[in-house]
Amino acid sequence: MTDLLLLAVTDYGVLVIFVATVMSCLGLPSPASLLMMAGGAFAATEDLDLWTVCLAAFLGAVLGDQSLYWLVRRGGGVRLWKWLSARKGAGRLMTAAEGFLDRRGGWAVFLSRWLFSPLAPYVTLSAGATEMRWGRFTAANMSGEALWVALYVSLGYVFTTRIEEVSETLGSVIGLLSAGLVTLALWLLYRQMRQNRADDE
Amino acid sequence: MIGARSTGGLWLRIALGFAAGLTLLFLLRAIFFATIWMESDPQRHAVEAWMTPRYIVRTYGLPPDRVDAALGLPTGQSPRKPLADIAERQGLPVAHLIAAVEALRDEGERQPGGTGSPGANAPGHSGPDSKRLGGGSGE
Repeated sequence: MTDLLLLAVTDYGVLVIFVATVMSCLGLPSPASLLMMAGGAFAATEDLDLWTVCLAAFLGAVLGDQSLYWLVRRGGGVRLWKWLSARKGAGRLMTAAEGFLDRRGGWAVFLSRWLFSPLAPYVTLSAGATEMRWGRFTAANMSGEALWVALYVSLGYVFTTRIEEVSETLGSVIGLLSAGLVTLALWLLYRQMRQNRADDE
Repeated sequence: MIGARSTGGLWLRIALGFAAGLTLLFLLRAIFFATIWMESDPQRHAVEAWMTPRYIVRTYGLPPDRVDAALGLPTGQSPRKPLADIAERQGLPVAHLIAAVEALRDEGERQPGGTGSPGANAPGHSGPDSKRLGGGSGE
């Protein structure tokens, strides 16, 4: 599978990288990280142009994020969020998430673009559904995506001949951080739930 | 009411267990791939159809003109295309070009100053193909 993806990069160039980052930011399965690294590696060998690789990846990422944000915001996501917030079970969780996005939404968007990248589409969904200010979302989004692109393309550029190994290792570390963050959040929620129950009794 | 709350607690516990399991899985995966990364030798990486001539030069530390010759290309005109495309243009199976590069790599390792790593006789069909393709200009 990896071989076919790398073949697509050498065959179709930056277009593949652009499509991969659009898909990734829309929450669709896409090996964007590997392809950005491949772009960096082929830039190091002068098969692709470094700045074109960076630009294609960045524009794809921003287009994907903005599309998802507006799709949710204009496509009924706001009403769905309000409906869920009014429900007994999920309501407390939704309200807590909304409060968090209100206070730390910029950081959540920024960090989810590159450090907790598997969570990025969910943060974008929440930002759109809670009507996060577009300017705030865009500023955090663009700076985070710029860092994401710079990080992966640079790694590909530096570790030209080892992109598969680096990509698998880094993908696992990012997965570890994201799953760890979700575990921590769920544990805090569980602890609070137990505390509330104890207070009620 | 109590039933609904305990159901919520159960789902939360299941989600927490799942997330914790996933964290552990990613930890093990990270250790596994980091070990492979540390122990891997790029020069022993298999030659693949997606590799471009320049990528091959970089990965195996081979002289560009010799790679061009092995691939049947005019010297100094390495296309920015993968081996798969070059083979297709030449009407050859890509395995022939891969074998030619492997032969060149193995030859480099056997020479003084090459990496000289033992067991460099990988997928045995290198020599003759290399000479044939290198000398034949690929047309």
